[in-house]
Order: sequence, then C-alpha cells, then structure tokens
Amino acid sequence: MTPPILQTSAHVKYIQTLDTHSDRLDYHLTTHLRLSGVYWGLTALHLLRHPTALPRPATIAFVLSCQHPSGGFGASPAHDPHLLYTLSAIQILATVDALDALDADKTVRYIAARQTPDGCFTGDEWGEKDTRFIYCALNALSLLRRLDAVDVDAAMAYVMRCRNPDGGFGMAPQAESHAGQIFTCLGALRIGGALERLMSQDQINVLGDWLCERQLPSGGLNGRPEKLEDVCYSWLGVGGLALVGHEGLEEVDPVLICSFLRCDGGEAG
Amino acid sequence: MASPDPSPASELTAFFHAHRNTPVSIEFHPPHTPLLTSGPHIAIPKTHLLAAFPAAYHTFSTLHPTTTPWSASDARALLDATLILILVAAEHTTAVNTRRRILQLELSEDVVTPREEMALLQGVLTSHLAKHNKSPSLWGYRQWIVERCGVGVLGDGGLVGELEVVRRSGEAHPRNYYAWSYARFIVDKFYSCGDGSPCPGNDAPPPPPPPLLRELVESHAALCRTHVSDTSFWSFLLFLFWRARESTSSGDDCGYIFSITKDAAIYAHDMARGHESVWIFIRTVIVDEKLQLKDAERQELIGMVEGWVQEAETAGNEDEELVIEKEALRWISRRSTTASETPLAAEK
Repeated sequence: MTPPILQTSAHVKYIQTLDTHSDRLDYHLTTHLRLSGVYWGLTALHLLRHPTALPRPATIAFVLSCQHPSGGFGASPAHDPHLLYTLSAIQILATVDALDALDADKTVRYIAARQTPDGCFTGDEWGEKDTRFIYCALNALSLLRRLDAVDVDAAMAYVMRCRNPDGGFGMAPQAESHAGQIFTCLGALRIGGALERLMSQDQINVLGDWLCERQLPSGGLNGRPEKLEDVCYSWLGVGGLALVGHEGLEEVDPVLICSFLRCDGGEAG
Repeated sequence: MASPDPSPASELTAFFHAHRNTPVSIEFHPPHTPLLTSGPHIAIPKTHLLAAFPAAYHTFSTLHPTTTPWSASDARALLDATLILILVAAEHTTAVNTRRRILQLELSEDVVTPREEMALLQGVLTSHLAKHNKSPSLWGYRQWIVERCGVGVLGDGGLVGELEVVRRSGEAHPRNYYAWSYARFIVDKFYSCGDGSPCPGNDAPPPPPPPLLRELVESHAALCRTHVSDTSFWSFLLFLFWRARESTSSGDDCGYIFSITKDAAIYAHDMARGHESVWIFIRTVIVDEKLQLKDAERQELIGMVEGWVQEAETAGNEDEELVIEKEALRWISRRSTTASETPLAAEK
C-alpha cells in the first residue's frame, strides 16, 4: 500500500488564509484565542519549511497590539492578559527572531507577579492555579533568558508535590494524573534544570509505564485511561516520553505516524 | 403597527432573564431548527446562537474596555452579552472576567447576585454542552465565587449539593477533569476549616454541615461501580481515601479502604470486565504507602488477583480483563522491587 503523502502546499495555504476572513463571522468566533492560533499556525509553517509564509512585520505588530498595560498579553487587542497568551506572544516573537521588539522587563514583571508563595503560578490576576501555568511561565522566561526573575526551586518543589503514586502528574497536588499535565510538569522540570535532580529512575520508570499505556492498538495515544486516542494526546504523550528519555521511544510504532497523517484534511488543508 | 420580531440575542436574553436563580438546562440543536423552550429548558440551534453573536460582540466590545465602574444598566447589558459570548466559546476568558468584575461591584439584586451566578453556572456546567461542562474557565469561575463569598453561597445544598453538581457534570461529560478538580477543592473547603463565612449581600443561613468523611467515601465508592469506565470517578475515590487517612477525626483505622478496594476488584472481575480505570485505581491503592494498607491486606488483594489469573490461564479464558489483571500484577511487582526515591543526579 502506498503510504499517505503530506499535502504541504494545502496546509500552508490553509494557514495563510486563516487571517483573511475578518469580514466573516467565524473569524470573530475565535478572537478569544487568536494569539495562540497565530503561534500554532506559525509553528506549523516552520515545521513545513515555509517560515516566511506569514508576513513578519504584520505578525509582530499584531503580537504587540495584544499587550496589556500590565505587561501580559491577551488573546486579541483589548482582551485580558493571561499567561497562556503571554507565552504564545513570546514564542511567536522568538520564532520570527523579534524578541528585541518586546519590552521584556515589563513582560517579565507580569509573569513574575503570577507566582504564588507555594511556588505555583496563577494564569492571571483572578487566581486560577494549574501546573500548566508553571510551564507557561518558565517556558516564557526561559525564552527571555530571565528565569532569575522567579523562584525556580519553589516551582520545582511544587511540581514534585503534584506527582501521584500512579506515576503521573496532575494540575495540583493530589489531582488526577493526565498526559497533558504530565507534559507540562516534565517540561517545567526540564526548563528548571531539575528533572534528574528531583526524580529517581523508578519514578521515571513508573511515569514511562503510565505514558506507554496511553498507546492504543491504532497507534495513537490517549490522555487518560479509557479515553479515545487523538493527535493532541499522541503529541503530548510522546513528548512526555522524550522529556524523560524513555528507552522505548526509538521504537515508536510506525502506525502511530500514519495515524497523524490520516487526520489530514485533504484539499481543504 | 406590529412590534418587530425580537432579535436572536434578545430571545436568548429573555429566556435567561425569566429563569434567573434557576439552574437551566441547555442543548445545542442542529442549524436551521427552531429555538425551543419548555420551562427552564432551552434548545438553541447553532444558527440562532451565531445570529445572536454579532449584537453580543458589539455590546461587549463597546462596554467592556471602559476603566470606570459600569452603571447598573451597562452591567446588565454586559452580563447578557457575555453570556452569549460564553455560550459560543466556553474559554472566552475576558467574558468570564467581565462577569467577575461586575460581581465585585456588588450592585443591586436587580443586576446580579453571586447565588444567581452559581445557579447559572450550575445550569451550564451540567448541561450536555461538550465544551462548557468541562471548561477550566467556568469551573475556575465557580471556585472563585466560593472562595470570594464563602460556602454560604452554596445555600441549602452544601457540600453534598456541590458534589451532585460535579456528578451530573461528570455524567454529561465523562472523565471531566476540571469538574473533579473542583470536587477536590470543595471537599477541602468543607473539611479543612469549616468555612461558614457569609456571602456579601446575602442573608441566607450557612449551608448544612458536611457528612462524615467515611460516609462520603462509601457513597462515592458506590457511584464508582455505576461509572466503572470513568477514571475520574476512581481517581476522586483515591483522593477521598487520602483525606480519610489524613483526617484526625476519622477515629478508626480506615479498614474500609481495604474492603472498598477488594470489593472493587471483585466487581471488576465478576461484573465489569475489561476496564483499565478500575485496575489503575486498585494497583495504585496497593502500592501507595500513604494509605497504610496492612501487609496482610496487600497480600490478600494480590493473592486474590493471582488466583484469578491462574484460573483464567488454566481454563484458556484469555480476554481483556485477564490482560489487564496480569498487567496490574506486573506493575505492582515492578514497584515493589525497584522502588528508590534517590534522584538520578544523586546516583551519579
């Protein structure tokens, strides 16, 4: 059987046209996550080896227009700032080599102000705590080379308190293990330079077991037991295994690769 | 002269205004079907919601960026608009935050009260709306209201009522991560400090005291058997086990942790075969030192499962349940023989 072929030009065209429909209702339905959408599209274009497919000056201008006086970024102009979109903003600027366009000190102050005394981070001023936000904060600060602005050790200790006896990590201490949370916790530990310092081989092994059990017969991975597999959790699960250097990763089932390609949207991109 | 037809946005607003302080149930229906209401139930065609969006978006864009406190009428208009925005997109953070800001203004009851918001959220979170009932933004907003107002905002339902909201949301959306995360928050709210602080602007009496922790554990264990494939139900049972062990008021040796776990294994083996969720729960209970199972209890559980596996292999009954039970035993043995908490860096 001929393996499926990646429809690169269709995917590139699809991403390019996403910002050309501001006269259509569906464009405005995604205003609340626009900045992250730009990051996802831009990253995909780079992976597809079309890094200049989006206009660089307009991309930078849009990112900066989303900055709030507090220094954080919202999903769109005049939207409330949040660590999720602040990370997306910094990732976009880093990807197009435009971090110098940013008032880094102001953004760093916003991020640092989100850290709570127990080491965790809130997403915004309203106080929702989640290990996802530790990852967002450290990822952003790492790109800005400003990890010194927060208490990294306290963040690492908090992440380890979110480790469960089943091997996984959750959004908070004693929360349910979840592949997405595992990825963000491991990512935070890696960025903080603490993964080997704080995790034992047995802890890594039991974590690896939990993630490997996410792979289903189709090849795709799910995010938790008895859920359906999807592309998102396949990425997060394999990403988690990569972050701990899981021995079995080199033998990833090739069926898994095809499961990604079967999600190809055909001519529509 | 006949009145003009109400706009799509105003039709939705009229329904929600007519049912303030009542948890409504909401469905989304296929495009180009009629808007249907029956008491506190509404079926909104996707096309109707999209038709309501532009007016709501215009109101929101005009009013929300202002830096001055909103008047009562502007606040009410924003509440109507942001509800439509949230129905379109559950993770519309700015729309949710706008509602928080309005609550902070502590305007009159004609505008909004925290209890009214809790009722609205209950309706949205327990309806069969795939994105909304699992939304971290909306569950986070519910938690914020309770943190701000205290458990008095829960009214007569108290902890049991809140866990019922979680259960219904978890049934509408299985493996509902943020619903069960909220459940952990609300259990800790009741069992850690007995918070009965009054809610601003609300003279209602504090909620009823929570049940004994053991009763909560046992009632939730019964729920797990009727939601056997839902890992979030089992994970919450594990959380309750931890709380029971940590509680200084439990007054007993928590022997029910062992008996509930044993019953779960027997139930999975006999009645609900092939569910990974139960066995991940069981194997975790067996190895988790925090739960303080006695060695004899641990060995009894392991021995029981070993017996089942041997029996099935001898009879040639190879099904998914056998695979899962064997894997659980392998997992347990790996934990017992290799356990080391020494970080990798220290070993080098």
